[in-house]
Amino acid sequence: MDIKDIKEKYDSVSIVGLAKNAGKTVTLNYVIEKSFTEGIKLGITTTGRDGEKNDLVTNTEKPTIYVTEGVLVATSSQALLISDAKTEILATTGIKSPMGEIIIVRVRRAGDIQIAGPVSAANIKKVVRLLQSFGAELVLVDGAIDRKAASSPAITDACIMSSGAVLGRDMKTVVERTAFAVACYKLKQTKKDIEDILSSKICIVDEIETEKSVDDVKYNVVEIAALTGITAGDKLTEKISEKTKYVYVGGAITPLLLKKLMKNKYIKNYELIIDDGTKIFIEPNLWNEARKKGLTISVRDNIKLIALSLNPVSPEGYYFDSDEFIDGIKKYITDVEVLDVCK
Amino acid sequence: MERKYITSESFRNIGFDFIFNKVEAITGYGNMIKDEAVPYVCGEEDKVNEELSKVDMFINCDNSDKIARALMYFKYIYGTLTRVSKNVVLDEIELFEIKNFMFDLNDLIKTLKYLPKEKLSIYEDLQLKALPHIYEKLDPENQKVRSFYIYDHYSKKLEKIRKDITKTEIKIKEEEKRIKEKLHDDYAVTLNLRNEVTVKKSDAKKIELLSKEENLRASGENYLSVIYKLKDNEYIDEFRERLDKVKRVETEEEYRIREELSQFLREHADELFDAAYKVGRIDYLLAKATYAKKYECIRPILSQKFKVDIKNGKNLKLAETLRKKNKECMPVSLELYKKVTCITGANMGGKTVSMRMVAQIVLAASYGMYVPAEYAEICLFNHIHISVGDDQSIEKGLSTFGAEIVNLKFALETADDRSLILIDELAGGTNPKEGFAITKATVEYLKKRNSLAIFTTHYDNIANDVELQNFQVSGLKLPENINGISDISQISKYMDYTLVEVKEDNFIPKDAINIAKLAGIPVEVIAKAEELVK
Repeated sequence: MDIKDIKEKYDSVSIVGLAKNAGKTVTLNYVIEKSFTEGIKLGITTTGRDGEKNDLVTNTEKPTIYVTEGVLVATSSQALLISDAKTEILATTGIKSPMGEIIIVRVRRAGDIQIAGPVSAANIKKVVRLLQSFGAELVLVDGAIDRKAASSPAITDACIMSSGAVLGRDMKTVVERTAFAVACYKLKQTKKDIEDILSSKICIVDEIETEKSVDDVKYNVVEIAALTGITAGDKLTEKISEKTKYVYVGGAITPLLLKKLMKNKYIKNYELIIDDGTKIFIEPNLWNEARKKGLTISVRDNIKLIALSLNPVSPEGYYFDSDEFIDGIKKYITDVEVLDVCK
Repeated sequence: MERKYITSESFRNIGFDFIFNKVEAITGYGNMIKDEAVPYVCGEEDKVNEELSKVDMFINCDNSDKIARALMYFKYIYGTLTRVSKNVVLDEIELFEIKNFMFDLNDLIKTLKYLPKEKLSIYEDLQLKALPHIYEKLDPENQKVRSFYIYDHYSKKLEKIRKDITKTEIKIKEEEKRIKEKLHDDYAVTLNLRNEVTVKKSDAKKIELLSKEENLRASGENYLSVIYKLKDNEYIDEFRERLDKVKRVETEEEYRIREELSQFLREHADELFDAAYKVGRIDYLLAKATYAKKYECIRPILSQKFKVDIKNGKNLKLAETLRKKNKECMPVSLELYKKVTCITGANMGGKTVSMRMVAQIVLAASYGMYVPAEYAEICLFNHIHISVGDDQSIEKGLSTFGAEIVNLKFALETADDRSLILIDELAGGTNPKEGFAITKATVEYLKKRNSLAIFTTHYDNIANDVELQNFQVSGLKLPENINGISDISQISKYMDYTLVEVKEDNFIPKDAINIAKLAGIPVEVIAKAEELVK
């Protein structure tokens, strides 16, 4: 992995795991080490989790990371005051998290530090900008793919994905699911002129017939009154007609919604537009079935996937042959760097 | 029980909440001062004048935007300041906040040069001073940066401990480096930052060798590989033990320093609170000035005698509502010089709006604010009360009449203590005979009290009393040849809301019938009504 190249191309990179114990923290440490060796000034934060305060303080995963002198960190006040690394406080952000206000610090003496960052997408962006303003050349966001909250790959410029044996005992399944996730991230972007007319709510875009040439197509945007894609299925299919050219569904794409769309006879006629590739919560086989029926998809936010890290060992004890695993993945994924973090 | 100046219901019913919300403080300190503000009462005319003179200073300041910008940087740390005053040891984040408060203070002080020096020097509550003795404590190395750290400079001991820590860490690093290099030479393995190396089990020969290596231990294993971690030798052990010990001493020393700093700050807590108060005052006054400029308000003149004299005053709440619809609000003038005043006139003629306007202007002046008028001379009151038919207490289950009576009782209780009492259509909902009697009796009662009262009423023979003032809404000014209107709200186009003082009793009301006519009530009804009214 060429960390210098990454630094040149992107300001912020998030690291996400396809499942717990997929090796995200190992990947994060790997990137930190690379940056340290290359003398890159790092900024680090995490996407916090929303929920019960008690649960958050005690039970959620909060990575403890070894940080070297000069690294900039955005973490909550409670996490900061118990850290082993010696830090200089640079700014208080006014952003509240269940573990206190988010504070920006610079490491003065290397050591372990617990990182618990802000929860909302807007606040993560704000914190990333702050870290940059204090001199971070590259900001790493220890991220999460979340059904409700904003997924970190959509917030940062690029992303590194962790996958591993923990996804299933059968290597073929793991390879397929990983390849599927990567494919989702690489979905094509919605055409600019269509993106411009979409509303922020769930909507369908119908073509209006004009007498002029084919190039001069007029569209009519119809908003659907539903809060999320989860409940929108029936309302959507009612409105979809032979004139419908695009259907936009914000938020999570669920099996229920997809099945509703698949029952609708117009599925071949329109393009389904979703927020970004992390919003697809569907098994590969159902997805493939929909594609076979002629469904086309595009994303409003394109995610730049720069690397895929693989952990061939599951904490349950089973493991894959590392070379075979990587080779399997590489059959599907050609233009993304694949790393074995256990090597 | 001592009676409040105004109830929250009256505050809202007058519409003053709307006006007070237009005084928008920037900082938490300014909002705190505003929230705690109480109106000045009778006898405090000098204080109002002083407050208004301070507002003047900000209004006349050409660089008030620079002061506003300095205020925007303030973080509200009242919670931390409260902890400073208590017997607690502050943490580094709190110390950082106080240090930054010093920076923000200095930045604000720099902008105060835009205010006239000779005036500023009179007002103690605006004399914001830098606190260099406090700042120096939080920047012992004189770095002049906002960041905070328990600096080595705080104690010789801390400096020594930290040097010791660094030296010890270097010793460990050097020894680790030596071993790592040796391991690299011997087995071609490279340990990472955390001193670990993962070796595949397929490389059995290497596994065998590394397992025997005294400087490594297997720290983790799975079916694929073994993770080896650098094992501390006796030399490293010794330094690690030392490091642990020194780090503990460091923590203790840092705590002692924080304790000392907290103690110092506690001794100067008054100065910090004083600074926060003054920031709040500056913010609040600037907010009052901004409001005055935005709504084209003027400085009211304070009278010690009973007096309310308003020229072209505006009910700001109504004016803003109309402005949003691109309509103009018609200003109203009136001078009150008797204890009881009646406002009479057409329905939809703005009687209640004008009455509220009087109370709004009196209240604004009592809060030391400019007022929305061309001229205003007013006196201060000890109480302000309004009674309107649409009071929210109706929702509490009282009937309109019941709510009015409760309200009236409340208002009359302070009638001897210099009150401004506003009564809208008293007993308008009950039978006219008794309603008239109650209204007349209340007027008679208030004529002899130490208060100013304004009534709006439809009853005849209330206003025709030489001891009373009577204002009449100018009323409908219909163009000739108008036959009807499609929408009753169009009436406002033809309504002259100005008030005319009526000195003689020769007035025949006619606007109600006119409105009825315009609205398209059958001719027969209108004709009969016109006959009857004569």
